[in-house]
Amino acid sequence: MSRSPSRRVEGEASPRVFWTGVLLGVAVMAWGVYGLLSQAGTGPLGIRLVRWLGWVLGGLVVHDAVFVPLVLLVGRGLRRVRPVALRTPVQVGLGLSVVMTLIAWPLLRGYGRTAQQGNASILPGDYVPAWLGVLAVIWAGAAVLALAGARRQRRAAVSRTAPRG
Amino acid sequence: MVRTAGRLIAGGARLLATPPRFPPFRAGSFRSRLHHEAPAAWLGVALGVTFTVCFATGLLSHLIQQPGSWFVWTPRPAGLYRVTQGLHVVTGLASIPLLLAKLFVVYPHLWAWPPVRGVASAVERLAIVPLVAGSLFLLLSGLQNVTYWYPWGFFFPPAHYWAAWITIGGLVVHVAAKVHIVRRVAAAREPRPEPPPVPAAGPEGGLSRRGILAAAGAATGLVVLTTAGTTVGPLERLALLSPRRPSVGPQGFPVNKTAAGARVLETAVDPGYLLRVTGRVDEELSLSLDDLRALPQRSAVLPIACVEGWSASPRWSGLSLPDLLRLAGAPAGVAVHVESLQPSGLYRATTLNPAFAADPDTLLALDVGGEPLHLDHGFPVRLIAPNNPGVLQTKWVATVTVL
Repeated sequence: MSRSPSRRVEGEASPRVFWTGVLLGVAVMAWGVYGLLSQAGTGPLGIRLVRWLGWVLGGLVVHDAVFVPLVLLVGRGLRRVRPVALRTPVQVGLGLSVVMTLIAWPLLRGYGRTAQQGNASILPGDYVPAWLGVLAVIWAGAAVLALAGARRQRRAAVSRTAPRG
Repeated sequence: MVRTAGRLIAGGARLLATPPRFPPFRAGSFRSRLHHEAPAAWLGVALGVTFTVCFATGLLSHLIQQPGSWFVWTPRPAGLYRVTQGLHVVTGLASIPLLLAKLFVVYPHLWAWPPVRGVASAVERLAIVPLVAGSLFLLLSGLQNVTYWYPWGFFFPPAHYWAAWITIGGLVVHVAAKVHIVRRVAAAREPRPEPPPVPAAGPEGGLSRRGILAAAGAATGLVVLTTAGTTVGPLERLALLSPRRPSVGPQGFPVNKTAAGARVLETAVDPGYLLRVTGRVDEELSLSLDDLRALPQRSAVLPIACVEGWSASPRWSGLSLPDLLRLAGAPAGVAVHVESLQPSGLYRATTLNPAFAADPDTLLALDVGGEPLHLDHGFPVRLIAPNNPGVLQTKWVATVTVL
């Protein structure tokens, strides 16, 4: 992306790159804020700024103060999973299940079905079985991962105990 | 007074020098090895790609719908908008697992002590607020919008659009502050002789740093696989978690606004229906449905590509707009305003620039797939132009005005 003009020690931040980025980034943000304010309003085409801020900052707070702490808490609980070889598959299975459930949530709840009465082409799927099917695929993958891990561990154990010739 | 202030500053400095003794500030509060710059850097690179594509395609879609004097959209290639808007939605959805993984990996930085280490660090950290809050908002509101879930109480397009500018501004600052870490991580990467089939388990077991990248990649792949079929035909059967199926709807493709929703149930089927051609013409035309069918017809396979990402490509037929303009004696190189019977609504009319108005495949369609248009697809006459966003393909056309 940005190229530092002088030869620098690998991995060191360049003040010139940083402050150029700050200047450019702040200008872009200012344009965004200007646009936001120019369309702030309560009419049908307006951005209701208070509600907009509520969603933007609310999302940040929910993510940082609720979602991640919950993930960390569950992650801590997973350290108790025995045998150890099951931890990775369980972590992956849970992580993917959470992501796919988030994506499927509006479909599972069917909010869009009330958007336009009589439009059967909106949310036409049978989303509960679809979502369960996706979860089944995820956990089948996790099971394969667990089996592969167990096999690798057995082999490692054999090669440790076998006399080397 | 001065002494009190001095003492306060000294006390503040002492407070900042040592982190609070409780989590999440206490050193060692976050012990997972996943909180590391290497996965943060790679996830950052991946998000850099998806966000750039998503922003560029979103900006393009905005410009097509609200062109300024300097932006002129073209009818060719006919399927370009279908691709760019499909990419917009797919890269947005694909960013969801990447962003969640990235924010998890870097989460301890939120509680770094001292909170700032100088002016540059303060600027960099402040820019994180619009970046993270904006990213979460864009991905969530985008997901809500494509699933027709409107809980916000504000108008989506400008709220999403301007949030994108603010977020991208934050991203520019962030990239400038962190690009050296990506260089460092990329340089430190050793060539791997043989990657293990399973992410290597360390002493505490569980995901490795490469493992979380593989997991984020798998999640992204799964999201794309189960949603991209809304516009990528061969993947339709896999589009399990897509709010639209390109082959589901009247006459085999989806409907965005129904005739009932547009309040044209009576006017559209009125036997006295006339299509009016007016404006800068030698002769104003008023054509009945029979008149329209008696004129030479043209047919073309053209995509109907919605801003929400879905698309379908049926065969349309009807009147070629340039033919109709010639019939009315309109001058060459004109722009055209097309209005619907729909009495009100943001998308009841569209303006075609001269390139669109002159394209022979810009149709006032009467038929789709060999049968008259379904009422929900715009019976009796709808506009279908190549490379035109679905929302501008005016249905239930009443008037064509030459500008």
